[in-house]
Amino acid sequence: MSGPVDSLAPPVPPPAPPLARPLAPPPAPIDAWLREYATHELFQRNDTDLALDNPYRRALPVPPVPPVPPVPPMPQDAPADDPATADLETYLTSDEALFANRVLLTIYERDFVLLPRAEFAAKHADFAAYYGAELTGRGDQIRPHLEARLFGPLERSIQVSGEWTFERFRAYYEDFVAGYHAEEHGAVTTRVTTLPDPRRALQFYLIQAACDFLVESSAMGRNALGNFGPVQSELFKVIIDECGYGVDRTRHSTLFQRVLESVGLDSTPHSYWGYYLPSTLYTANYYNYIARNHARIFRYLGALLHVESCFRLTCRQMAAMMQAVEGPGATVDYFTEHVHIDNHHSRMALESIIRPAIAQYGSWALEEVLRGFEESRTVGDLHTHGLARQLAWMAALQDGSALEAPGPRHVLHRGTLAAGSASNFFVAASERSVRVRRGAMTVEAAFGCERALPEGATMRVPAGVTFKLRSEIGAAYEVAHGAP
Amino acid sequence: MARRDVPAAPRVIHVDRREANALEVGEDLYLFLEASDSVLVPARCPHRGGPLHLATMEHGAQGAVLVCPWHGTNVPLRALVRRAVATVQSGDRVRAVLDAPGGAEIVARHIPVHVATDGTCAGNCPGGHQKGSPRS
Repeated sequence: MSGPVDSLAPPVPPPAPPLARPLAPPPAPIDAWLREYATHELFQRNDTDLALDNPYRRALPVPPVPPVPPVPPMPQDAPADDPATADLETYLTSDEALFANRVLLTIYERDFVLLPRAEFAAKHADFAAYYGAELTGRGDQIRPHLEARLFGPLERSIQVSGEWTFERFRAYYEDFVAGYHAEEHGAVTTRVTTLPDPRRALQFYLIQAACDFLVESSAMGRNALGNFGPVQSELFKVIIDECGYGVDRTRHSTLFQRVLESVGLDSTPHSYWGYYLPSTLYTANYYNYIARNHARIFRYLGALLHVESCFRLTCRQMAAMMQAVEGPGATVDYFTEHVHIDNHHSRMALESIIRPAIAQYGSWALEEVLRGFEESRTVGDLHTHGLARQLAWMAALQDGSALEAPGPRHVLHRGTLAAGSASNFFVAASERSVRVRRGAMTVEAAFGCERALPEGATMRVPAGVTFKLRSEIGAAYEVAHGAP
Repeated sequence: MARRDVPAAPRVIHVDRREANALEVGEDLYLFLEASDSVLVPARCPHRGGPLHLATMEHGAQGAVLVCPWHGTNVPLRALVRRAVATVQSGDRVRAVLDAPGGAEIVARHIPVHVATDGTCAGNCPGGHQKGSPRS
């Protein structure tokens, strides 16, 4: 019996890449470990969601157990807590993903030397706890499970097959470069300049960038050690560029500190920890993920090539954004430096690092390079989408179009805010409606981007954005589905 | 038509897997092996170039084989996989790199595939059956 079908056959699937296999299901204690880790005294939140000049204090609020809704859940509210089945972007717009990403970055960055600029004696206990045995041991137990949760879906979304050669890879890369004009990112930087309050929008953008830029090259520095011959030496040239050749004022993270200070922001790492989007944290985590485990060194090289090839274009857009908002005298050295040096870095990554690495280490290395390039592209897209969503939400908040007439809604959650208190940042998994039942409160979408809501006011929150609530006089509120 | 005076060079083809299951490269045909995967194999029989997208499927000592409709040649699937085109797939987007003869026209499209297996559809056949459903 035969008939027309869509594929040749159901063959034996090709073997999964060794690194793409998901871990076995986590053992039962993982959630208890996570809760124990996150409830450590060091990680308790304050209502400001700021941590000025103290890189050890990182609020890790545990997401609440989803409240039982008073009505049957709607289909779009199916829990997005199973990344093995949920679309990756949907999963990243969940409270659980925000929490997981915060914890994972906290664990990764214990490998970095982070010191406050002032009052170290007063912060010494925090310093000792952050790098101490208790958090280190528990973090090492948790980390592989978080990595499987967050990066398993990314790995499974990409397949490499067939016989690749360097010349084919070069064709693939040149095709990418020819077609990449960073339009999506350009739309984001343009959007920043056109919001009703562009200064706040610019601060939002730079706060998200600061997550990685203030510790720039730290993740890649993990690959500086060891012994892998000429490839190591070539990679080190890129790293020393990032570090300003040992001259502090030219170190890239120093240049970015000046950018932050020029727009009135604090420039110590993670001062705005509570304000990071899930997609921002995911991006930072990804580069740590591939750099921390040296079995992923070739994947890292592919991601490096992708980033260096894109950053020279996106930095040009960022410089234009800075000048549009701050005027022609804007502090843009960080961006112009990258527009220049990343032309060299992308060439060096392809010709001086990847090409000899493939010649020496063979086709498996090339498959990993490809995988890293594609993963980095996907992560970059997710990051850009996260920025675009949040900016649209900020615009609606600033111009008042997010306010809507109250109407019948399926209420998901009722809560109260004591006078002078604030909520955590929530992630709206799907469109939500927030109504002030009693009192008054303020909705905050980003640092300094907020709107006061009097009693009875209703505000629509689009899917996939973060927001927090605070009240000076106390309030009762309800969160409902966005649609009646 | 491919120009023989232009040497073959790597060319990158973008394929949306929701819309295409095959690549025509000049007179050659390549087919994605699975409905949702990136393995792109030559669909011409190595014997005399018969159309393997019209083959029947059998399972024997060599594993899964395609039986070419022209001369009954058994073509092991794993032999086709060894000759698979270099591809990378992310979501529904595939980039294939082919060493195509200069000037060869390359078209990505959907073609019906004719495989006899166990009497069930292996994908979205023109009859609109769901994967795994009995074929009428």
